[in-house]
Amino acid sequence: MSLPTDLGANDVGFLLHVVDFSHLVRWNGITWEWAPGDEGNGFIRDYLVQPPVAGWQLCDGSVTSLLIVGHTTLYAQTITTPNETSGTYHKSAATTDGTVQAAVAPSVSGSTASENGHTHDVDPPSTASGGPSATTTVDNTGGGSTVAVGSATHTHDTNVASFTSGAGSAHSHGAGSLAVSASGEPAHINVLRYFRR
Amino acid sequence: VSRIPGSTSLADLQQSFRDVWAQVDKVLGSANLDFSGRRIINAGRAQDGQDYVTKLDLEAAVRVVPDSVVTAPASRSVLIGTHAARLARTASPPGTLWYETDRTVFYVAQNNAWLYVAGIMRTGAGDVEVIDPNPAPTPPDPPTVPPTDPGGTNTNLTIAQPAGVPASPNLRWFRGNLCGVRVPGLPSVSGGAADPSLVLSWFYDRYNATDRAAIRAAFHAHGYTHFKLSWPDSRDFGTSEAAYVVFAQELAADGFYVGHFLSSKDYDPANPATILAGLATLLPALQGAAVIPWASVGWELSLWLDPTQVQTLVDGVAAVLVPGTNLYVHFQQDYIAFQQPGGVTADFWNLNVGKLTGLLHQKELTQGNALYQARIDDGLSRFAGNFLFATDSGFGHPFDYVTYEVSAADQFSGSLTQAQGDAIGKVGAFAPAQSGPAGTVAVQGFGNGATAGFY
Repeated sequence: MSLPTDLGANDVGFLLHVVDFSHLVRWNGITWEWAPGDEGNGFIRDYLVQPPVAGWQLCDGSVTSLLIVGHTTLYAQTITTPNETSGTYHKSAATTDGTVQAAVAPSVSGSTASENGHTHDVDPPSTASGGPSATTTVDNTGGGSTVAVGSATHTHDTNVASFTSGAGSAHSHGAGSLAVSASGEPAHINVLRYFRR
Repeated sequence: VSRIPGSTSLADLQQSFRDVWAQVDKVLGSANLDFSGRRIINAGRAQDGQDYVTKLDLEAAVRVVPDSVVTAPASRSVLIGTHAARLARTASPPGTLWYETDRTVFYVAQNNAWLYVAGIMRTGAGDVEVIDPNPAPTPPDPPTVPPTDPGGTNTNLTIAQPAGVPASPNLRWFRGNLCGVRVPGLPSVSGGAADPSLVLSWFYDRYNATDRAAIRAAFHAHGYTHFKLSWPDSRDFGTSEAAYVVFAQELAADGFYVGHFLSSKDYDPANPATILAGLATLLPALQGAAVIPWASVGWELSLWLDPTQVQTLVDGVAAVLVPGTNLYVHFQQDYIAFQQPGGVTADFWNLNVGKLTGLLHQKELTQGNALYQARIDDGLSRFAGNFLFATDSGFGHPFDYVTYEVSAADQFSGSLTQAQGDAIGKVGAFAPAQSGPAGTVAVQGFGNGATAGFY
């Protein structure tokens, strides 16, 4: 059985069940149109099981056909389904080419909140001065033994105890190299995406 | 019957009972029932095997009785047969139902036509053709003989007309010139070109008998077989229908296939009903005189009518002329179809299977030779059954593509000579033939002159 191509004004309302696509179309006297109750095609629907009728194609990147109405001649056009088998979310848009858009990782901008209430512990190290920069020998007993004494400048051992700094000045930090993964997911259910041909 | 005893005598009472029981026995006794022509009314529908059937029961039973076109009497209210058989049976009593066994749908006869009423047809697997909306360019087959024109214009007749040019005359293969032939000595006529020798063939009725004979002779000398007239122009000129028919007869008697353009943007309203009403008496007159072997629904239809109006006009004219006349359409420059907005070219032509023989194509005047042939080849490829086109026009061949108007405007303005116009006409006729599901389709002649030597 081939498609009827001889319909005219006397055939208005002629119903045709397009078996390969599970569509019901109607002749309006000039062109084919969707019959009442037929929801048309070109959309994607979620399934938990494979659709039980023809006219649906799994969105797996394969090429399928799309029934075209609105013309005198009923025909179909080839169309490539998006590959949604790896997990794809749908998003509204002003236009679409039907292809899967790659995930884009969120970016982090701005800086941390300003803060000035924290302090830092400070523990200066123990230090010892060096030897006298110059010495002179003096007899310290009157008997012949001697000892060297600073002839001019000299040094002393010093140990400064630890202490806490004062409150810092207000400041914040940029995002630096922080990044957010694009693979995070809310709770979900896996579905089969099918394209209505 | 003495229903009431005349007295209380025993004899009268006995007689009355006898009469009454005699009537009761007619109903309840073993004898056959005699209703003396009376009807049983308000009876219920039959339920059991021994129940009487009502008229409603009977009519329902008749609807499902298998039948056939061959054996069904015309009075039968339901006929069963194929789609083709229904189309072949145009006259049935009003109200007759036809069940198409192959399409599983019902039609009802009404006003000598069949109207769809119910049912759903099912397609078969693979019936819907799938096309690639963005096909990769298909490299052309190498020609068997390379074109001799390095510029890409075919000049090889074998490539253009693989089956050869049909012998002259041939109604479907046009040899004509609507505006290009020069006949020295012709007078100026109303609406004519500045060069009075240029013949606008549809102004034929504006010349006297001597000049008309000269025109016919010139057309014969060029080997032309098709002569085009235009009813709206003649009507505007003041020619009566009767005189118009006589002019057509004169041309036909001299051996021409006379064609008629039936509507015009210049002289007709954009109203198909009005146009058709204006043709109501002319067309039968032309048919009666057998002088309308071909016709065009109108001039440049796409310029002044919308697609629905064009189709309405085609339907109306075809209903009168087809199949006795080869009916064509003529559009604005470079148009090959006039489908509804958003449609494809096949939409227009597939609607006109069994109505139109083909297209009288008008060239875009600015196109060069190579581009012109390329445009023709695009149309020929479609007429060959590609791009969803029907493979048969309804007349046993694909739709015909005639390179009809190629230089008329330029010749009218005086910017082209007759020879130059003929050269362009030959370019059109030499466009390479194209192949498809309908086979190989070649240009079906020319309508605006062509350089002699091949036709």
